[in-house]
Amino acid sequence: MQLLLELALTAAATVAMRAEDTAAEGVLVNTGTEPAEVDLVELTSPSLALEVVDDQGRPVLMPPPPTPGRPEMVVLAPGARRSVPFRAFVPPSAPPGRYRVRLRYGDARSGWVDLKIA
Amino acid sequence: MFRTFDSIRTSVRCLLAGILIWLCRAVLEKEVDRYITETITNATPSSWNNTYAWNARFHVRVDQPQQRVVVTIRIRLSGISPSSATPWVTTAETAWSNRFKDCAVLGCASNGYPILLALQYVTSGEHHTVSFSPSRTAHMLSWGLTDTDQAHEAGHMLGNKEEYFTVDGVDYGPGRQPGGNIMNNPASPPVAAHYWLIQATVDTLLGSTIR
Repeated sequence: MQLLLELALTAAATVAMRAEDTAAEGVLVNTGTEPAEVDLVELTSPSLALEVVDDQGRPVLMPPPPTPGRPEMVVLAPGARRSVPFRAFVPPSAPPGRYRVRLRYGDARSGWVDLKIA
Repeated sequence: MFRTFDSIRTSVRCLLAGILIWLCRAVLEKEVDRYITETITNATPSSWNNTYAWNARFHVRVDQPQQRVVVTIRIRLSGISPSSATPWVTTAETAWSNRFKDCAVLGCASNGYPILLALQYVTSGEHHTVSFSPSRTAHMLSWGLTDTDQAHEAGHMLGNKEEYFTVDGVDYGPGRQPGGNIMNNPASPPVAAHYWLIQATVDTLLGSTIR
C-alpha cells in the first residue's frame, strides 16, 4: 500500500490562534497501482492521525483516542484521494507558543506544518 | 493578633461544618482537577500505541438534605448548539447515574446516597470544551451524533483510563468486548471502581472512610 499524506492548515500559520480554533485539512492519496483499504476511524481522529510537537520537538500529548473495534473501511482506487477535516486538534492544555503538526497513517507521514497558539 | 483570630475563625467553621455533617444537614461541594496519563501498547491497529493525557475535571456536591451525591461536568460546546447536543446529555447521564451509592454518610442514610451525573452545557466556566465531530466520536473532546460513545468519553472526564489493549502495562484485550465495562465497550455500564475519583472526593469532603 503506497500512500502520500498532505496536511494544510485552514487558517494562516502565521496568525496566532486559540487551540480550539485550529483547523486543518488532511489529504491522503493512493500513489500505488493497487486499491488501498483505509480506516476512516484512524484517519479522522486527531488523537490517532495527528502528531503535534512543541518548538523543542517534544510531543504534545493528545486526549484519549476513540474506542477501537468498529473500523470504517473505505477503498481508495489507485490515484484516488480522500480529504479529512480536523478541528480543535491542539489540546486546550497546550500553552501559548509555536508548534508543528503532521498527519500520519500507518507508516506514512506528511510534512510538518507550523502553527502558533495564542 | 490577626493570626490568632483567623485561627479561631477557621476552627469555628470546621466545628460548624462537622456539626452540620453530624446532623445530616450539610451541603458540601468541591471542584476536582486531576491530571491523568495513559500509555497504550500492543494495540491492533498500532495507531492507538501512544501516551495520552488529560485533566479529569468535575464538580462534586454531597447533598445530605436531599440524600444524594451530584457530580456535574460543565461542557462548553463548539460547533454544535445545546439543543442539537441533547442526546449526549441523555447518553452520559443514563450511563453513569443511579448505578452505585455512596455509603459513607455517617448514618444519615441507612441505604446510602445515590451518585448522579449531570452533564451541563455552559458558555463559560467550563470543565471541558467539546467540539462537534461531523463523523463519529473522534476522541474525549470531539463527539459525534452517529454513536453513543460519549458515555465512555465522560468516563475519562471522571478520571478513568481505557480498558482495552495494554494500558500502563495492564492487558485488557481488544476493545468493545461483549462483556467489557464502559471503559472497554461504550455500550456497557460502568463498574464501581470507575467512581474512584468521585469516592475519593466525597471522602475528603466528609473526612471519613468511604465503602
